Amino acid sequence: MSLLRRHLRPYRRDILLGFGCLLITNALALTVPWLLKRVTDALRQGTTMRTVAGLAGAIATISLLLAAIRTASRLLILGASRRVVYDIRNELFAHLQSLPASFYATRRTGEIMSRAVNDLQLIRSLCGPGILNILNIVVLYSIGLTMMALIDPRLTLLAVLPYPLMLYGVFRVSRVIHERSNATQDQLAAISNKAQENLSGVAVVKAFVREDEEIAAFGELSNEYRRLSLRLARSRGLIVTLMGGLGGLSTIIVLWLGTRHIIDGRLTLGGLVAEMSYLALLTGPTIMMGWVLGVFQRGLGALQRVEAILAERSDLPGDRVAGDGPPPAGAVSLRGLTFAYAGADRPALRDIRLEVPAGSVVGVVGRVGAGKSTLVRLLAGIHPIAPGMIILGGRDLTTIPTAQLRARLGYVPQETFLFSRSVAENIALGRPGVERADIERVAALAQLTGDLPDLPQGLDSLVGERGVTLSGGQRQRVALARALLMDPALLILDDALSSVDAETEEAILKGLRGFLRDRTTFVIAHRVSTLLDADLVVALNDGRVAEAGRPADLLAAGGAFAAMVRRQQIERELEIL
Amino acid sequence: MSPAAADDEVLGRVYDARLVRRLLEYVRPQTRLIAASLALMFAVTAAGLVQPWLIKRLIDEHIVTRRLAGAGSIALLYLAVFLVEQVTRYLQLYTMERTGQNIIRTLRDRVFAHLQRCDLAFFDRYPVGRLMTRVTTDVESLADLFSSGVVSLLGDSLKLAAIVVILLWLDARLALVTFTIVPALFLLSVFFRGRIRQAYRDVRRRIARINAYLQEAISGMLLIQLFRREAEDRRLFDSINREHRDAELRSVVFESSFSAIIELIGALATAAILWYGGGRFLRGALTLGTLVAFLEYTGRFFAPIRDLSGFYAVLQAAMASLERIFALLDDRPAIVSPAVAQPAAAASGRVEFDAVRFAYAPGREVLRDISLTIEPGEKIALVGATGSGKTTLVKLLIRLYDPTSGTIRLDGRELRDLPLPWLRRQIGIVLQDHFLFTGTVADNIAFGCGPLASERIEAAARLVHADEFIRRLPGGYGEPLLEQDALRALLRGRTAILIAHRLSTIAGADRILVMHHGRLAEQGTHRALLARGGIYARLCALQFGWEEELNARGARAAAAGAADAGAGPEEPLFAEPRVATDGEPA
Ligand SMILES: Nc1ncnc2c1ncn2[C@@H]1O[C@H](COP(=O)(O)OP(=O)(O)OP(=O)(O)O)[C@@H](O)[C@H]1O
Ligand SMILES: Nc1ncnc2c1ncn2[C@@H]1O[C@H](COP(=O)(O)OP(=O)(O)OP(=O)(O)O)[C@@H](O)[C@H]1O
Ligand SMILES: [Mg+2]
Ligand SMILES: [Mg+2]
Repeated sequence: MSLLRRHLRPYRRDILLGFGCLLITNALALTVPWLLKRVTDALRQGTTMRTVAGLAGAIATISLLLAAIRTASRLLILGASRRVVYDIRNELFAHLQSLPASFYATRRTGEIMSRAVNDLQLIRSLCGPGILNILNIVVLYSIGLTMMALIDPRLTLLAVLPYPLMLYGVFRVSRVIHERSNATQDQLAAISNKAQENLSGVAVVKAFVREDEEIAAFGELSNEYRRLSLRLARSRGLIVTLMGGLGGLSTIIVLWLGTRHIIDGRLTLGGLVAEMSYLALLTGPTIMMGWVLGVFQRGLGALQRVEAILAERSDLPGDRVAGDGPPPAGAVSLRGLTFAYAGADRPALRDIRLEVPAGSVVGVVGRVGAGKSTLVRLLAGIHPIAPGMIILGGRDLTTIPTAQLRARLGYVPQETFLFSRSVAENIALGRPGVERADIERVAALAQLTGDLPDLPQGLDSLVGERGVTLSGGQRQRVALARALLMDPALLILDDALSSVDAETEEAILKGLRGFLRDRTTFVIAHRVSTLLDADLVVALNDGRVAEAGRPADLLAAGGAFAAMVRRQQIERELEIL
Repeated sequence: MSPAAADDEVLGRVYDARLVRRLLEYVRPQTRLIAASLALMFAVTAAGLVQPWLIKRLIDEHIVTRRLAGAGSIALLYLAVFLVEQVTRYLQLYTMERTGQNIIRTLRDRVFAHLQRCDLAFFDRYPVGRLMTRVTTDVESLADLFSSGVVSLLGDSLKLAAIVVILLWLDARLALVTFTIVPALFLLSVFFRGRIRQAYRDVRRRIARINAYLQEAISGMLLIQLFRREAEDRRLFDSINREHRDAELRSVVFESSFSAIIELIGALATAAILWYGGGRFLRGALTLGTLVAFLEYTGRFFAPIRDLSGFYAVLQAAMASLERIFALLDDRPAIVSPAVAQPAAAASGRVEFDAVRFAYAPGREVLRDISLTIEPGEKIALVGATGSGKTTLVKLLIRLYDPTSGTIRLDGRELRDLPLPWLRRQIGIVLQDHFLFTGTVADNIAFGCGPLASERIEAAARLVHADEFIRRLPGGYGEPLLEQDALRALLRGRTAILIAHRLSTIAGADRILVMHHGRLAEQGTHRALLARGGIYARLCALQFGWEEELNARGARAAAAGAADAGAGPEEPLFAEPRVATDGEPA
């Protein structure tokens, strides 16, 4: 709620003005039955045509005014609701940018999307039509009932008898609706996720002929959604019927008692007509109440979910320190680095100790799951660590603001991610607005220049979603160029050349030699050829350093690294035989 | 571009006979529900329309004459009719919702099933985000059509017609005066319809853009953060968000004024009835009860018209969605499974490429004149520079794409003549890209093999040394993760094609194919290719060139005796300054 209050504040003038207009609108609307009463009574007493025409004219004039002011009130309030949603969506987006990997690890894209799109739509209904109608209801009820009481207090009292029952019913049913509506929304999200995943992995689905299983799985989700929607529809229908039924009961009470009061001479026919049209004015909002309650419930639920995301805070120490300053220098010192992923029962890294002077090239090797990626992810400040375990350029990593840490960080993740923009825009990811010549320079370093003539518009070719229209190696090299453009002091290549052929790789490494001279580089690689030129090779095993040293020394020591080299050697010899 | 393309931008006509006819195909299975709903709707409408008439009788027969006898039964009748209206309305709304949910479920499943048949070229053209809109939003907007639409439309029309008849019957002249309002109503609606239509179109288009943008921004959030692109990204998002807001604000203008104006017309009608009907009453041509009934009926006359104008928006959105959905369903995949019987035996695995050419986009050939034969059970390694067409070749083999010209045969039969699922089951492929499915490890390994006993899955995993690694995962074999090597184990005994950049991976391949700029530049055994001294030999030299260097270095290091591996765990391993980085040992 505080979120809404904060975002409504800038528009409070519009909203208050809108409320004012709404009040006037309702007041005007409520004079019409009164005029009807006067016409009817006049007719009953045999009046002149002039009086009738005058009263009819008054109704027409009031209605004109009413239309104008009603339009104004809706413009003001609905307009404000749109602006509020725009503001919240911007805030939410900015907040999402500040949330760390741990947040995204536990939530699916579809789920977050539905916060930023569906839920905001619900909030829009809440503070547009929702507030509008609630206000309508309050005003109509209070003024309407007063007017009715002025005409015939006893009749009115009896007419509102069903109302407490109505409120109780609403209260009970609406809680059920709330739960069911949440379950239905969740199921819809599950459907979206399924579709999203399936469509993104369509090549795998086809290659492994999984279409039928996928269709069956989707069908199950889809049918469950149908079931939940119907269950929700039943309780929604119930609330509408309840409201309508009880409202109608009032009409019948008025009709029956009214007739008797007229016959008794305590009420005029005009009075009854007016009472009836007041009740008619109230019936709409009463039936609407079911809908408005739904809007409120869904809106408040949405608000809660959005607020829950906004309450999330980054768990990275670097996001909790502020300040400007230069990015850390290149020396890296790991002092007993230990790290476990949230929820994992064993650490992914244990007591890693390593001194890396600025400007070194460090090769990291190890089996699948040994912790190589984890190590470099920690250097990039992706996961939270305790103080004193990573020292960059003499500064504790946990004291360096994240933005500073990454100002001169070049990172090529193991999984290439390209945005569906042009090759050039993908390369310039971290340096929007950079000179074209700089993009061309790093593209050349990544050996992309030779591929450009094959692409429809060279550097300006669009790469398709996640880069599907590029070959695997082309994608990796775009990611490499993107990291090089950061002018990195610390460059991290996580298996960054795995899809690149030996010849291209050789060319890249050769070209990078000069570039790397004064930068610290971590290279995770499998090919011995990549590692032999490293200043230092670290072999990880099960999260620990198995050995570390200059490649030549490690070979001589005959440990894990030597074994890996020998394995590749033997494989080769086997081939030759 | 095919019709499924840029059509988020297009809103169709409101009524399109062709679309409706096709929709009927989905509606037909629901005939019984719809019939029930229609019957209920008649009851609801009738019950609603009897009420003003009962009021008229109450006024004329009892109130004006001040006679209480018999009034009680009218009141009871009113109560009964009212209860019937409430109950039937509930049932009617529910049957309608049910009809709608049944229909859209069928449609949703069919759209999804259709997407499973679309070929890869299709997915190259359409972003996943847009296809998602078909499966979710578009289908949902049809749900609105059914739950709040079609039958209410019929109900409303019926109600209107009935009221017209009743009013004419009560007092023809007053009725005609009341109807004078109709042309104004009609003209105004037409005017507003055009505007509202345009406004909604803009809103939809822009929310789709927000969707697409968010989709990518959230998936790539880590990169945005690592590359510190947040501010730039916020700026872009703000401009998209702002455009959406402005479109919404335009639609608000029309929405707000339209309903107010319809209400105004209703009120003017009331004034006209009072003025003209009052005159007739004074002249004794009309009873008071009739006048009051007229007002009641006119009130019920405008409500359906208002609803109908609301329905218009629903209908329009639904028609646009329908058009997009059908356009998608009409998009005939270029690659379909031919209607032929499945070969009885598994393929022996003889693969032939005959003068195959292929281009993703016209004029940009990626494969040029590829001819080759792979013998049954042969293990092939495909090597070559990045972008040379290796992945593409494999995609053609499992018919993710069809060649632009030339033919591919399996066991002597052209691929186009083989059942697609059968074909794909015959050929084991390890795709280059990791696609992580949120299934479990077991699911992913079982991909394409049908139901596999879990021991067999584990055995396959052990084969590729993934076993230990999988066991360490928190959920053991239940952990969601794909291990490519494990898939590879399943290739045993099949004709296999491996794309390899690490030459060590190709150990044991029977034959090596070397791709170069879309051509098959060399092929043969490792030794033959080495002997030939071409591209492959050069690749090998590059990859294994380290060996000689290694020997030299190893010798030197051993001489220096500088092995650090024995350093204690408490001390930093490498305190001494490193060697120079010029790439050559000092
Ligand atoms: N986000 C995560 N949440 C939980 N556990 C994780 C996460 N990422 C990795 N792990 C686990 O941490 C361990 C180390 O993983 P890491 O990705 O660092 O391995 P790696 O050496 O890079 O392997 P590979 O060669 O496959 O890239 C593994 O057991 C892995 O399952
Ligand atoms: N879906 C696509 N649409 C358009 N062009 C594509 C598509 N996929 C690949 N290409 C282009 O076709 C060419 C060959 O790509 P392919 O993926 O077959 O190469 P590759 O030999 O597998 O390379 P790598 O070793 O890098 O994976 C490349 O120039 C690439 O840009
Ligand atoms: Mg890794
Ligand atoms: Mg490839």
